[in-house]
Amino acid sequence: MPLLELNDVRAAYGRLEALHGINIRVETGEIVTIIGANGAGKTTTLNAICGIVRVTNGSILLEGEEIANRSTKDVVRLGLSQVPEGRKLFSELTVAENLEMGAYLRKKGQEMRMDLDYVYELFPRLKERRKQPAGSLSGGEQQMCAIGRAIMAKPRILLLDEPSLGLAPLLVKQIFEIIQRLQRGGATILLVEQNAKMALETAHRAYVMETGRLTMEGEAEDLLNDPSIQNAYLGGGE
Amino acid sequence: MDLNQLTNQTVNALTIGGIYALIAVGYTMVYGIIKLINFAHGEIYMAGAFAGILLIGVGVPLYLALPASMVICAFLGIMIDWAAYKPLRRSPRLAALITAIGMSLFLQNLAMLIWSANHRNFPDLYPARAVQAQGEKAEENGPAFLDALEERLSMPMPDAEAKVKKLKREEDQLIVEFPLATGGAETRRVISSEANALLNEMKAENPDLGLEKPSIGPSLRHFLHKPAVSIPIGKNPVDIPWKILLIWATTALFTVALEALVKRTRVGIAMRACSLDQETAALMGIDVNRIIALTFAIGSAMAAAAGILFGLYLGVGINFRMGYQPGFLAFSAAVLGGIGNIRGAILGGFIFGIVETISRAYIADWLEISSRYSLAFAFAILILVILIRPTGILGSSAAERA
Repeated sequence: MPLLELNDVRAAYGRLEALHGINIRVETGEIVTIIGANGAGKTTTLNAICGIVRVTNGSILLEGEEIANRSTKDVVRLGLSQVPEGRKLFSELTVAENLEMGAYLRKKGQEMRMDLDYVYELFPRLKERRKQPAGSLSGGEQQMCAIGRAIMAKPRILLLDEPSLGLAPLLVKQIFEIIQRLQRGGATILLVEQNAKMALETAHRAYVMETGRLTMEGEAEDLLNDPSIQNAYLGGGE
Repeated sequence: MDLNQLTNQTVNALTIGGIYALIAVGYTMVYGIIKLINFAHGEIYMAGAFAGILLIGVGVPLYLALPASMVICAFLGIMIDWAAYKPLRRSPRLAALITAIGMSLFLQNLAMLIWSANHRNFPDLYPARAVQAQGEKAEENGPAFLDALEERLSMPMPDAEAKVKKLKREEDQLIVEFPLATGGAETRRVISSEANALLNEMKAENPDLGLEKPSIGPSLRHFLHKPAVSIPIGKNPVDIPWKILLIWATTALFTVALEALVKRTRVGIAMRACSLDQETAALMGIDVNRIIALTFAIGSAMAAAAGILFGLYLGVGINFRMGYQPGFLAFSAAVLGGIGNIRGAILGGFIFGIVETISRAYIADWLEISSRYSLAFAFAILILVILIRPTGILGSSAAERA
């Protein structure tokens, strides 16, 4: 059974349909990416999964359990956590408090401490700055904090929305290394990206999205070498 | 300068400032989380005072009446949010603001319907009187008379206007204590009718008794009204009664506890997270509506405490409009301190308490105007501070962003 499965999902903002029936599948331990231009519906897909956007048709299954149109709280409780686009840290809370909010639904205790140590091990900079307001961090550190916060929920699947947005190339590379490291550590990741090249190099499988529809899917490596993808998303084949 | 008066006014300023601070935190917390000035907050303060005096009136001791009123008002706060503001969460802010003003007027009028427009006093916390024997042979026959009266009053009196709760026989007097909230006139009538009956019986046995009607002293003071500390300053020492210490201690306890809750606990961090970004807070699995309800509950409980402490402090002036002016002052205090900032609200509350007291006691005198202008000075300070620092004294960029 796939860990996460979207079957013919349609979603709408009010009367305006933004997703026109999409099918996505994520297996345990995989990195799956959705690439596409701005406004293609990538973020809407994540928001539909998290119960933020209303699903009007189809089903969203997390290990076989229907989660479409459940409250965000339920979805998080069932083991799904999102790193939102633009990081969305609580700027006036400290780094440590942001991480604690990631673990909001969990009991305090040994296990949570271990996860906190894991996050600090992944991101030593966060440990140094744990008492600083998150708003005072640099862009890269903020992205690390946002990822750390999502990890603190101990999710079964991690949704990442444009983690490379607004970061310098060197930091982008670092972030994608971290994503791979998380996967090697056993995480399952659904990654939404505009930076198609980095995303396809990092992911196992990929979906291409255009105006609310999936137009292609396949092994990430195959898509990376596909001429039409190269033309549309990778700067016309270098 | 009269040091005596200065000390007294300082005590007043700190007391009234603490009461404003307790109200102001409710305004600031609710504003912080849903960006709404809850104009009905002053009415929660009024409801807290009423709940307090009504509970004490049926015999609940103060130390239970205070927390009970806080719980009642916490629910009232949640109900107000649920009925009036929650349906408007996604409406323009002006709609919610007008609704808040409407809710304030509604609650004032509801309180007037239920409890009438009369002012009420804070109940007598210790309805008790001291009885002393009088007459030419008071020294000789007085003790026997008081002993007999004690016995008589300890018997069940089904027809009496008020029940006697406790009797205490001292050297030359008998202390007769009644249950909480027994009116002063009733206590006097019960004692005097029994004393007269007894006197007649005793005179029938012994015509040469030499006793007249006993003196029934004024209502005794509860220890809260008695001096706890005496500051030797000026001509007469300044006495600070226990109730002032109680008000200070309660204010300090609640503000420190609130600060700790918001800064240190997970729920407190979640409250701050919700005030910064509700959408992302929901993404953490935080039940935002529950956090908002909790915010209303805590703010309302603080206001209820302030209402009771105010009643205890002044002893008078509990009526349906009592929340209007302190509400406005506390709201202004929250703005002065930086709306959305709890420490700012506490600071603002004390500043308003001090400014109001000083202008009432000194400046009005010096300018030869009525002390009723004292509020004008308080608001003048507010305007000055806001002109220089639009976000308030401790306000951060949060106010600008909102």
